[in-house]
Amino acid sequence: MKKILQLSLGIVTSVGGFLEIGSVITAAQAGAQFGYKLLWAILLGTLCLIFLVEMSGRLAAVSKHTIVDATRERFGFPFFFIVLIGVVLIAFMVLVAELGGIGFGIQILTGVGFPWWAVPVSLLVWLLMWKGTFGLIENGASLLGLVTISFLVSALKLHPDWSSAASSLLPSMPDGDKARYGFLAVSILGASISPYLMYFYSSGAIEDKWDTTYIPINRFIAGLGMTFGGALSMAVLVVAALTFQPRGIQVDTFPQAALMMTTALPRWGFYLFAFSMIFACFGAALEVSLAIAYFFSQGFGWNWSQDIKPSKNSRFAFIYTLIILLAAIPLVFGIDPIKVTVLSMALTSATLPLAIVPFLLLMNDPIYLGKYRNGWISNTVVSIVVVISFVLAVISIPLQIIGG
Amino acid sequence: MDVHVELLLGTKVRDTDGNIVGRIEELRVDRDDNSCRVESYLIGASAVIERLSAWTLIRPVARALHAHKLYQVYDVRWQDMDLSDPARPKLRIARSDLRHVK
Amino acid sequence: MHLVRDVLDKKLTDRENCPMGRVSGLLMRVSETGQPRVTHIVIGGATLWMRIHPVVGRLSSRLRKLWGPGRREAIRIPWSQVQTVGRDIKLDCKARDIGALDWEIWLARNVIERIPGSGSEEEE
Repeated sequence: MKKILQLSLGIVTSVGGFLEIGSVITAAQAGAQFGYKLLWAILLGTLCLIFLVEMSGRLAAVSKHTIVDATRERFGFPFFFIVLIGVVLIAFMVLVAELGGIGFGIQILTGVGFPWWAVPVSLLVWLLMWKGTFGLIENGASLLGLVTISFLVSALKLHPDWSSAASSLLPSMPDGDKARYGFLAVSILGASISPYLMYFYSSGAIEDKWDTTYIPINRFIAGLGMTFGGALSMAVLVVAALTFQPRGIQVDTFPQAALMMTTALPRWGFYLFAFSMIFACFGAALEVSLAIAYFFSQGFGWNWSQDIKPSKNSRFAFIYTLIILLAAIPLVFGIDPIKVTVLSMALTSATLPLAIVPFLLLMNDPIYLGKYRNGWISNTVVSIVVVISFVLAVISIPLQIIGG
Repeated sequence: MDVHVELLLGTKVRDTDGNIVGRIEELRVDRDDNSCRVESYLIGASAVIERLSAWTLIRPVARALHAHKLYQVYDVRWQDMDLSDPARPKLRIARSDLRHVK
Repeated sequence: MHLVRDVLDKKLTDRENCPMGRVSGLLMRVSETGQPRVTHIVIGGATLWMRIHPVVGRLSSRLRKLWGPGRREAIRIPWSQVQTVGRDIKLDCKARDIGALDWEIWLARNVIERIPGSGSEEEE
């Protein structure tokens, strides 16, 4: 019975937690500029994420170690430290973007600019971390995040050309700006394959005291949940393709993006978008903050658990308090969350090998996984996608910067 | 003399002729109540990896890959290792007498 | 037993299963003729930073001597206090007594507990 509950909650988590400012903005920009043509990037990213999430859960259930624990112990402190710097820097950028996303959502509802919301929003995120348990955060944020299903509804109401969409699930060369196409593909991959999700998930599995009996459930959650999340991202792309591309609108600003669902849902579209962004980014902000705090705490062997009071794990609490407050600062000074989002997604792709290579090695290590080691399918899929992301990133990021 | 084991890791080991044999990767020990007796040192030798200067990132990865062609591992008994200068460990035996790890 | 695989960087827990950090380093006694013996587990920031680079390690050590709660030196735990070496390393001592939690306690008292809702009030 408990496992069935876990399963449904797990799927809700994946659905509610998948969409955030990164996946929405990158999918929206892709749809607006290239129509359906980048659907393959979302498919590839989602596929890779399914494997990565399943692996995270399996590692925790079998070895009773989180990914960070195992990375420090297997590869030593100097190696771990380099991974820490890379992952945390980018995760911090993502946190800034998510807080900005919440602020933007409130901005389009109230008309008051997002810099004014930066501090209240980050305080609210912090408060939930401070007082909330892991279960409350995981489930509460995800349930609220279900409002993002409105993207799926909008996509269906717009009656997309299904055969055209389906053919875009295979990669193809675009007619227009190739450098931009490559850059958007990289950003979408980075938005889908977010390493912080892996760290969050494996820590959650430990918090929930998973063991080997959870392995089948874990597969279900990873597979079903991430698929649903990927479908939502695709829905965003389709909606943007049908709403913006015919009108030649590029999604450079948030108010533009907000009009996305107004064609399909004239009365509620605007508000649904705003609330989707607010709740989805809120959940993501919580997950990223936790992931960063977990990274430090697990890596250095501190007490960590979202379920115990802050005074009992003061270093863990201090880290998330510090980073949430720091993340508000760039926003107060008016940094554009859209630019931060797109850049952090692209950089995620570029630094994927740093996070994934040690992880893949761990998943093949008999010391940690025994007979539950990776099969050739998991290894192959993840390796290929990471190589693609990295190569694309190395090529397209400089081109994008040069292109302006 | 007190030596920090974690700083010994990765230091180059030379044979009696002064040639580099490899780097210290692991120590095999035997536990008793008050201490761990060092039985042997595992030396990892790889010409390829020596040339990759970013050893912090590359070496742990190569080690984990157990790529035997890439990475030979020698088992050196404690009697055959001279640690009088911990920054420059030396073998007391010839390179040809080194045993491979099984 | 293998030192790097089984001991170094592993989590330490005390008599009451309280987390004590991770093994930062290991001290080995080397003599001219005798068999080398690992005698102490070392925990502490400077030991860790030394593994990144000696300059960083020395800087960390200097800063620690100038400022910071509790002990100013790295903490050396005699091997005789090691009970079991498994997934974690269990020690026969109390984390607080040997200073493993100095920073945790300092942060709790001076930062965390000053913020309402941290959970410290319920203990009174």
